[in-house]
Amino acid sequence: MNSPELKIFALEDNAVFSKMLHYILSMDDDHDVKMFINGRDLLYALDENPSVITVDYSLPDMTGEEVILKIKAKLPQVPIIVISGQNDIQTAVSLFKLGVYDYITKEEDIRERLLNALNKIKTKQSLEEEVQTLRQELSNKYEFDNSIIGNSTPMKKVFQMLHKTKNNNITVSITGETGTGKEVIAKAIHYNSNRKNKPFVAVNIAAIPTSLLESELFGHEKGSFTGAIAKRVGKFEEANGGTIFLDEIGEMDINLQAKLLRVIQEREVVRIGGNKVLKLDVRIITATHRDLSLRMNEKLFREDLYYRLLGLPIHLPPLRERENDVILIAKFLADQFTKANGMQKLTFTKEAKEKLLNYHFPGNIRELKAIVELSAVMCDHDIISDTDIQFSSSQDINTLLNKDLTLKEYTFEIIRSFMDRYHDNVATVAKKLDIGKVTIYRYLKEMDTNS
Amino acid sequence: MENSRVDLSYLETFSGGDKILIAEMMERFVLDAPSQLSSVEDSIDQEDWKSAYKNLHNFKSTLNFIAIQEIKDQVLVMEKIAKEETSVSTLKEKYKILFNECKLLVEEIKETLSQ
Repeated sequence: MNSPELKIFALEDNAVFSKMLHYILSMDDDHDVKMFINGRDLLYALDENPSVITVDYSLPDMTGEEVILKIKAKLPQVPIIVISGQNDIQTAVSLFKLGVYDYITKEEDIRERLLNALNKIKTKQSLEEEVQTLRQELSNKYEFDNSIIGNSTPMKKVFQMLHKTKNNNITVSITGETGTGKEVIAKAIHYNSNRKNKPFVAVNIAAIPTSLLESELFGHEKGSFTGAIAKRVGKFEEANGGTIFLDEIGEMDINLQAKLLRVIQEREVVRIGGNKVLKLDVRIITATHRDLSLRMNEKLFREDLYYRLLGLPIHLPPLRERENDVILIAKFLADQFTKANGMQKLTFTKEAKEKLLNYHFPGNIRELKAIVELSAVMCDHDIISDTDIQFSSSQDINTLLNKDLTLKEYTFEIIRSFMDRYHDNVATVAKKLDIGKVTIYRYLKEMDTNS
Repeated sequence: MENSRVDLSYLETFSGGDKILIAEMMERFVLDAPSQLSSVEDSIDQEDWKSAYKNLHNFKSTLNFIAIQEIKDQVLVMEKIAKEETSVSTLKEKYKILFNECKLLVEEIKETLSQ
């Protein structure tokens, strides 16, 4: 981390002390020091944007307090160090209340204290610049064109919708199968909005036990319930000024939905066990792999909440419907993987591309990523051929398990899969599944009847 | 030999022992002290308490890194009188003492510089 150059303005009316101060402040080559003998000249020069200002508390033309207030009004972020001839605690306290960074008296240790304060300011400013740079990088990373790959017809529609989210705070509801990149889209919406320098807070509703979700979302006060040993800031409060992303919203308990609705309607939150009403300015983005209108019909999702959250709906198409995007994304993922691992750039053979295009990707982009990364490791001579691409059956199983089916329906799926695999040979299937042939026939009959 | 009125310990610490800077600061004091004292005297004569306090406070900063504690204390007392606006006559008396002390202080510094 490089120390930034520090532009220091020093206000000191005593000519002798001013010379000394200039000497100390100029000891570091990174310091650009400008001395002032009265408050008026300093205030006039504030347009030059100093990084730090030292102020002598007793001045000829105005009080130190007046100067500080005027600096704060114009440059509220610039740290002010007061250098005073008197060691007066009351003055020091009142100055700290005004937002002064440090109060140093003209004692023998002034040099050490002043340099120490300046070093702290430099470290802080350096960190702030780093945060700003990272924010900018993040923002660039999530530019719509950089973070979302694809020029298929269904994705063009998605891009159109994304651009509609840019200059407003409309609630956005994202739907799509597992692995279609709902969180990436949510982040892209946030980092392309005017909230990009504020927090993006993601909450996976399905991953948090129902009993803890209320506290997670809205926070709690110390002692508000057994186990609340300390105050907790909720995710809504954490996201204030920014965006909250409620992933898997369809999994939220119906009772908690009422509380969420109230928070969204009132735009305010009260921590569990607390009285203080906290005003919220939060953009809400939700996502689900479910059809919420069906959940609503089944009385598992509140109608009023559904319409509150619907806002601008964006549906992410599954990868199998995204035409040639599969190849574009595969190339992007291969580049990303090789860069991260210091490997040579990889190319795909025609056969490899065809193999990818013919696969149905039940796990969508998440599955494609795993396939590409494995093929990048397996391939020789920086070329990915069709034999390097392996579709994992366990991913099919995971997809199957992600469905909400009854035990009987799962059994049907297994029987159907085995019958396909062993070319409808009931004897082999019965042997492989370690059940009787009669049972297989019975299931097949049932399946036939149901269908 | 009379006790020295110069105490360079503050200046030594402040400058990190930079001899050139210490000499420069001593020269600066020789140049600035008379006019600062004159400002103090004028404000006392005019019974302008605010200016007296400001000028004494300013002079205190100048004296701070070069004079012995007794002289600094003298200014501190005068600063308090001016702030509380208690007695012009006391302030005038104390100024005379301060002036003489500073005169001797300047002479001593000049002598040190000429060596």
